[in-house]
Amino acid sequence: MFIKRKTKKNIYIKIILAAAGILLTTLFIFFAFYRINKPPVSAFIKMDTAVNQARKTGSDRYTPLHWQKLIADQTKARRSWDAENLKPVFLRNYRDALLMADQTVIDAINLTLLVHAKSDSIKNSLTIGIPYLKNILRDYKNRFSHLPVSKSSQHETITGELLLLESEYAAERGDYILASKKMNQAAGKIENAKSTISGIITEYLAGMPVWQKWVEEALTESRKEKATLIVIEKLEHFCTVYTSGKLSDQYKIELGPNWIGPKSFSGDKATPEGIYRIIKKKLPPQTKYYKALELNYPNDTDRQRFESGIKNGTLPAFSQIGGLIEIHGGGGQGFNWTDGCIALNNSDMDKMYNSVETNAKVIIVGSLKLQHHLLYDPYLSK
Amino acid sequence: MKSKAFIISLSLIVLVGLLTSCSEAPQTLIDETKAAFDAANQAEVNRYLPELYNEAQSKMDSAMTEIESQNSKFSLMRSYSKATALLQSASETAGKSVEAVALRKREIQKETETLFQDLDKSMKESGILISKAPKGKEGRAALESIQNELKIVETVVNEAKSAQNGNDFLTARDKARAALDKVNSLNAELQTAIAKKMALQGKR
Repeated sequence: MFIKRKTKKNIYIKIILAAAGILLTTLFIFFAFYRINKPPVSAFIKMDTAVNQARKTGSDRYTPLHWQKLIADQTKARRSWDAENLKPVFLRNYRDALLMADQTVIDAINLTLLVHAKSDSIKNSLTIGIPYLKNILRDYKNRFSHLPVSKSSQHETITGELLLLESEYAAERGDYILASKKMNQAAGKIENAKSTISGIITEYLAGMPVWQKWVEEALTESRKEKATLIVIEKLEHFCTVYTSGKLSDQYKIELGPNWIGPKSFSGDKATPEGIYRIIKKKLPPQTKYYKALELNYPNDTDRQRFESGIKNGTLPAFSQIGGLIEIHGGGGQGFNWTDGCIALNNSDMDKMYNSVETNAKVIIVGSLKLQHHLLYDPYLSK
Repeated sequence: MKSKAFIISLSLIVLVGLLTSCSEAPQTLIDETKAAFDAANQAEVNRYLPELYNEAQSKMDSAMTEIESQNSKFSLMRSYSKATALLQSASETAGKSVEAVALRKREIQKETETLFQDLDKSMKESGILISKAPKGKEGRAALESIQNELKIVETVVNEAKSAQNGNDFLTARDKARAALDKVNSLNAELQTAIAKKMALQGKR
């Protein structure tokens, strides 16, 4: 009985010793390999820090594609480590995981630098661009707001102005990417409006050589015949009276709202352009605009233009050429309001009426200024 | 001989038992944290409160590295307590960020609603000012131009309202602010024109 119990005890001791032996051997093997093949903990901590730094700079918004690649690389490195961890210790090799983590650190640092450069560049472009565009808008309004601009140009300008305001607010709350996008959209709209109106002005002022010729010839004639000559410059909104070729008076005028370009048909609210003569002097009740000097509109050139317009379809078939274009009183309202006539304030009209006789020549031109301020773009060289 | 085989097999069973009884990675917590991040992404935390989102993400990354670090160790030596703490903190931060974003969105939403009310008042004021503005043949053209501008502003207001309804509160606020600025500047223009008209009438 005693021998049997002793044998059983021996077996237990042997089991414990064997288990302890196996455990110690396993531990020894594990630590031996663990020391030789250390897991890349510090490399991964560095990688996480670098990736977080890149995230803080806003890489996901500034360079989404680079950012996605970086995150994919981070995940790939972690998976590689995880895959090695699943292997028995003596088969583990963290080399790939380590290399991937190191490369991701380099990529993350580069991305951070790239994003810094990109965000600085965007911030700079906003700091310069927003005030620059505001100045362009101000210049646009100063130069062109009195011109009969088309609705589409007006739409572009206002939309541009609103986009610029949105851009300012987005920048104010730190969303520089959106701010930049809005600013670029605003720039496009403003530029469109500006180029449309500049195009109209350039095309209009191309008539300058002809206008100058008309005036030069008329001045020579005025000098020779000691006649009175009236020159109307639409763009400048003034009218000059010459007596015997010498400047005697100058008056501010108001025109029809669509005063850029010649008159084409009745009701177009445009003031004609050409060489005319005063055919009638009118006093109330012949005119409702204080006093008036009626012109011989339409002249032969106006008729030709009208007829070819009807023929080639640029004018509606039912349109009429119109008439009763006058220089009259009732002006001084500060706007272009007539149906195509030229309006002076009543005191100026008094002077004009008294100094001009029937048959006096009236030349209506766009402008006589060679270097017109409307064509000068202060921002073109920048 | 028989007893020797018995001893070896029993020892192995004990060893396997020891090895398998050690701690495991907190997978449930990882899944919960990931779900918290999904919710944060859904709530646009990254857009409204990026600092909070980055903080949570940084904790999550550290937790994942800590887990791998523990997984590399001998099973008996593993401890996931630090990783668990990091995961819990990441999950809490993500959860808090969702609440904070909801609060921030409500704030911006209210701010924009106030802007809409101000816009409504300013637009009504524009109507009144237009009725008082100089209306000769000439004034009509200027007023028509201002009315056109107001129509464009109305389009932007509508865009702002659509953004607000679509829960894009930041865009809605930017647009509403821009529209209000423009309407106020148009009103100032109208007021100047009216003042000029009054001054002229006074002179006459």
